[in-house]
Amino acid sequence: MDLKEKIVSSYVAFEDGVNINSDIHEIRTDAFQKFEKLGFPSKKQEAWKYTSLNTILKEDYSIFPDKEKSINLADVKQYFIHDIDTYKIIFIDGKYSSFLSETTHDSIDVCLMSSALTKAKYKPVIENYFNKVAKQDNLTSLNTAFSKEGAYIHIPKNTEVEKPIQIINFTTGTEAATMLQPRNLIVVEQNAHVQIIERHQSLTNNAVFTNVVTEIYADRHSTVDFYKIQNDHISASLVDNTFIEQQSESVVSVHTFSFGGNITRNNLNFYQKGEHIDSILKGITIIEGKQHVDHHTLVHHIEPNCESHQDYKGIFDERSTGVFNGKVIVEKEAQKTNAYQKKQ
Amino acid sequence: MLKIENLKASVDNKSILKGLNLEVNSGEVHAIMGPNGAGKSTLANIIAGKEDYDVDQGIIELDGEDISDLAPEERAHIGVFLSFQYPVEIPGVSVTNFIKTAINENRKAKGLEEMPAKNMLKMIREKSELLEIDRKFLSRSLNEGFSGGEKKRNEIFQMAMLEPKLAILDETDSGLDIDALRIVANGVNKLKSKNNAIIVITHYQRLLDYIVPDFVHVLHDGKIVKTGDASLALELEAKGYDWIKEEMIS
Repeated sequence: MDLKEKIVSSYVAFEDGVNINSDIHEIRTDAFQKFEKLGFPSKKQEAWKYTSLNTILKEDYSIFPDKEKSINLADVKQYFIHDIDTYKIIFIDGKYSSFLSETTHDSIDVCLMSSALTKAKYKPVIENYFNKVAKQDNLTSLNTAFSKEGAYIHIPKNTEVEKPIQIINFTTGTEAATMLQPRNLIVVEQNAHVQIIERHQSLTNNAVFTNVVTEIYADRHSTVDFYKIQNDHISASLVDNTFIEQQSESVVSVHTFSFGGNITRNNLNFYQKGEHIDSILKGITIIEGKQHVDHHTLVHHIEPNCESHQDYKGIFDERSTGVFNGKVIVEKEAQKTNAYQKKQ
Repeated sequence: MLKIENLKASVDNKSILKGLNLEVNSGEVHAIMGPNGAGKSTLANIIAGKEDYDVDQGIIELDGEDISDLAPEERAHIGVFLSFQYPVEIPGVSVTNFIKTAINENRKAKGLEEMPAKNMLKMIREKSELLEIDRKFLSRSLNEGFSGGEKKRNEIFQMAMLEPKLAILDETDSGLDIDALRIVANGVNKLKSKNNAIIVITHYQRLLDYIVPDFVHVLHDGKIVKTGDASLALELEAKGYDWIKEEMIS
């Protein structure tokens, strides 16, 4: 059975684990309908001309790893940035690990998407921000259809978050092949500042396919520093879909370190919805063998007096391949835009 | 709804049905019983339009329309459903996908657009709840490694989803598996309505412990030789078929 069919026909089973009579489920099923129509991207689509998912779609993925797994901290310590004190939101095979995590509700919310999507107190934020900036394309729709778990971070205004936040998705490889669809939402209010580190890490050589969607909202004068560490096993592939909406005078930077993994695709999208915004996109790729890393970036300059800085560098050894496709859209109103783009 | 008059049919020039009459109205459940070789499965296959059978004489009408010249899929489109005694395995096609294709083919024949995935989901959810079917079952490959009970569950699920006007359940082979019987009976009881009709074909009375048919027909040597209510089935169970044969001779 091909993966699309498997996913589509498993959906009723996924529904058993969520509240089907909720607004969120309406969003999910709309997205499901969209994915069913569009299917997985193919090389016929312009945006996927140089990256084929065919080989990774052939695996027989387990879509709902239902056995809960625990792992020893000693075994995974190396994957944490552990010499600094951090908040941690840790998932094992897509399930939250309270043992490894360190969340907080003390003036800021660093917690779980599963709570945010179901508890009444988060409803206003979810209604305003969930699935709003995300583009409704194939893989984002697929993720939305199965959105249930991930990181939820809400930083109220004038808050300087003292510790960085680490989001790590571990895969134990207890299933021959695992597919994961984490969904993260990060809302940073006025004058707030936060640093976030995201990592996907498989612990065996079994195949993993992660299709992650992260939505980030940076309100006026806020600063968000986001670090993506892509140093996974060679059997793990990642499609990272990140959507960022910025308001006036905000500064958001995304640093992508691509060292590991089989096929890595980054869809990084910035939407500038105010003036005097700075968007910074930096990437370093060091790969070898048959590894493949594809950076697709979009910066949409909508208002005047904004800047964007893109700087991507790479070292490609042996038969490894890389793609960079950077799109900058400057609207007519966006006078005095400064957009830089460099790749080496 | 269904009207069969003086139906004569043969396979490879061997006469099987020899002047059969049957009338089924909306809202009714009919059971057709009879010994091996009486022509029960032949009757089911002929109503559904299977091509291996030659109709030599007679009328088959559904809602006043002669359906004897329609292809099986055309009959399916106007609401005839036949379960399979021996369903084929289709690796790589899930139960859900199979049913989705069938529903959309029916809609296409009626000039309707494909059912939106969202509505399909809702329908699958409702029907699987009604029939107490585990949702994980629906993502498995069609009939591949299915147990007898699972095959029946799949069959009843298909019937629930397609909402046929006339459903013919050929259960001649499932008489021994009590679980399979319960699944079929539960499905029939939950899915019968005043707008549809169900014909259950069976060897044994056991199935009728769970379903109370409005009519029981005894098929013997290509004809319906006796018709009665549910109590006829009990009589058959107690006495076997021989007394009917004797009754006929006398």
